[in-house]
Amino acid sequence: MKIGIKYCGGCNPVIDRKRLVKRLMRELPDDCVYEYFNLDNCDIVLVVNGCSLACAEAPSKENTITIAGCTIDGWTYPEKELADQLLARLSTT
Amino acid sequence: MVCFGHLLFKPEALSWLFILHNYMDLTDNIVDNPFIRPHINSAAATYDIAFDPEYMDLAVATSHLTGEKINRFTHIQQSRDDMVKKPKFLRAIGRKTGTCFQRCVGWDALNTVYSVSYEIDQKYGTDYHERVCNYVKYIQKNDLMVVGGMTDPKGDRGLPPHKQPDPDLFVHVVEKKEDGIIVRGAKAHQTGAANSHEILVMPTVSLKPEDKDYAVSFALPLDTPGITLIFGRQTNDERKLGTLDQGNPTYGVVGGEALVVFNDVFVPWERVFMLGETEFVGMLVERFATYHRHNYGACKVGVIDVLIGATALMADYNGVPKASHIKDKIIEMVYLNENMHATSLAAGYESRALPAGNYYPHTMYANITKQSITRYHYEICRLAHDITGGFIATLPSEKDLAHPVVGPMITKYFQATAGVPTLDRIKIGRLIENVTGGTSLVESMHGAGSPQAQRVMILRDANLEQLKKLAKDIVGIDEEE
Repeated sequence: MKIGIKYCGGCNPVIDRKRLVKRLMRELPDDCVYEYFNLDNCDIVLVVNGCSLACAEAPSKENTITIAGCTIDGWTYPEKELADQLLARLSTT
Repeated sequence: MVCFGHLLFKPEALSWLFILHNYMDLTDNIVDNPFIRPHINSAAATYDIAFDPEYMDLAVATSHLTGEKINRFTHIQQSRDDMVKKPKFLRAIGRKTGTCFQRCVGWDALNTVYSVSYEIDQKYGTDYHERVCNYVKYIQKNDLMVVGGMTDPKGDRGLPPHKQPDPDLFVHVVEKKEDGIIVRGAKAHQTGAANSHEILVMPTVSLKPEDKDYAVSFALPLDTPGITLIFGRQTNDERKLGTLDQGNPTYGVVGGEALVVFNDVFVPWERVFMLGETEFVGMLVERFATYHRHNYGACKVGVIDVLIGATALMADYNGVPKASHIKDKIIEMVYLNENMHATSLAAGYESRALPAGNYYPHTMYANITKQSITRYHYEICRLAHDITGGFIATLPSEKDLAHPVVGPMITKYFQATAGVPTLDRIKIGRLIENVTGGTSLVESMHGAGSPQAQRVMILRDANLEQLKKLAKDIVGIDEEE
C-alpha cells in the first residue's frame, strides 16, 4: 500500500505529529510505502494537522483521512488512541 | 531551490570579518568559533525546515516572479494567506531554536523595497522596481540570507542627518559615478550580519529635501570591499567557551548582532533601489517597521513557548506542579503569549494589497503586537523567574560540576524531586536564565523599533476624532457643520 503523508506547517500543534506517524510506520506492514511529495497516486493520504484548525489541504476528498489535533475525520479521540484508530481504519483500506 | 543547509557558511566567505574582542582569533576557523557558531546554527534552521515534510506547508512558498518553489523567507507576500502563514511559520521555527533565527528582517526589507520602488517609479519613471524584481529573483533562486539594514547610528537624535557634526552617522552617498555610487556610513545592531550573504540598506528616518544624499537604498554582498563588521557582545557571552552554562548551546541568544561599517563602498546601479527621493523615505520606514513588528507576535511567541515549557518542567522538577499559585502563574504566561500571537494573526488576516501587489499587515495590529512584546515578554520572564527560584542566579559553573570533589556536592545539594537527575534540573535552569536574560529582553524592547515608535503609530491609527464623534452621537451633542 502506498500511503501519502501531508503535514500542516506545525506552528502550534497540540499533538505530537511525528510520533503519531512513526508509530503507524512501525506497526503497519513492512511492504507499505510512504510518500510526502507526490500524493496523486497514493492508495490513501493521511493529512496530519497539529490542531483542530486543520490548515493542511487534502489533495482530494477521496481516499483521505484527516487528522486534526485529537480528531480523525471530525471524530474526537484521546491522543493516545489516535494511532490505534488510524491503524484500524487503514486495515480496511 | 538551492539547498545550502549547514554548508551555507564557508570560512573563506567570512575572511573579511573583523571581530574586536579578545576571544576571537581570526587565524581560527571562524565558522566554528564558539561566539558565532550558535547564530549560524540558528540561521541554518531556516534552511533545514524548508526540507522537512513536517514544516513544508509553512516553510515553502511559490515565487510569483518565477513560479518556482522557494524558501518562504525569500517570498514576496501575495495574499492574506501568506500574511497569516508568516507568523505561524515564524512561531514554528522559534519553537525549534528557542532564539532568534535572524532571517525575517531581510524578508521584510525585500517586501518593503519591492513595494516602495514600484511607487517611486510611478512618480518619476525610474526603473527601481525592475532592479528590485531582478534582485528578488536572484535571492530566491540562490536561497540567500539578507540582512535588513535599517538602523543608522543616528548621532544627535535632535538633528537631521545633514546637520550632524559628523556627516557619516547616517548612511549616505558620497559620490555618483558612471557605473554606480559610493556610499559611506554604518548600520547598527544588524541581526544576523555575521552569517548572512547580503545586506539590503534602507534609510532609517523620514527625510527632508536637504537630506537628499541620505535617501538611499541598495543591496550588496557582505564581503564587498570596504565593508567591516564589528561583532557585538552579549550578556554572559564568555560562557560560549563552554557548553552547559550557555543554556542554549546549539542556538545561542538573539541573533549575533554586528555594527556594519561602509567605508566608501561601491554600489553598482543595478543594486540601487532609491536615490534621493526623500518624500518616499517616511513611507519606506513605516512599511519596514510594520512588516517587522508583525513578526514579534510570532518568533518571540515561539521562543516563549520554549520558556513556558522550561518553566513548567522546573515546577515539575521542584515538586510543585500542582501548587495553585504556580499553575496560575503559568496560565498567565500562556495568556500573555497567546495574546501576542492573536494580534499578530489579526494583522495578517486584516492585511491589504499595496499598489505593487504585495500584501502588507494591518498597521494597528502590527504595532499593538510589537508594543505588547516590549511589555509582556518582561512580565512573562518575571513569572518564569518567580517560579524557577534563585537557583538560576547562583548556580555554580559547569567546570565546578565536572570537578571530582565539588561536582558530587553540587549534584547532591541541587537535587530536587526524586528521580530527576540534578544535571537535567541545571540544564533547564540555564535555559531559563538564557531565554530571560539581558540580551534577550533588550532585543524584545528595541528590535523593530523602540516602544514609543509604536505608540505614535497606535495614536495615529486610533482615529480619535471618530471616537469622539461616537460619544457625542450617543449623548446628543450636535456636530458643528
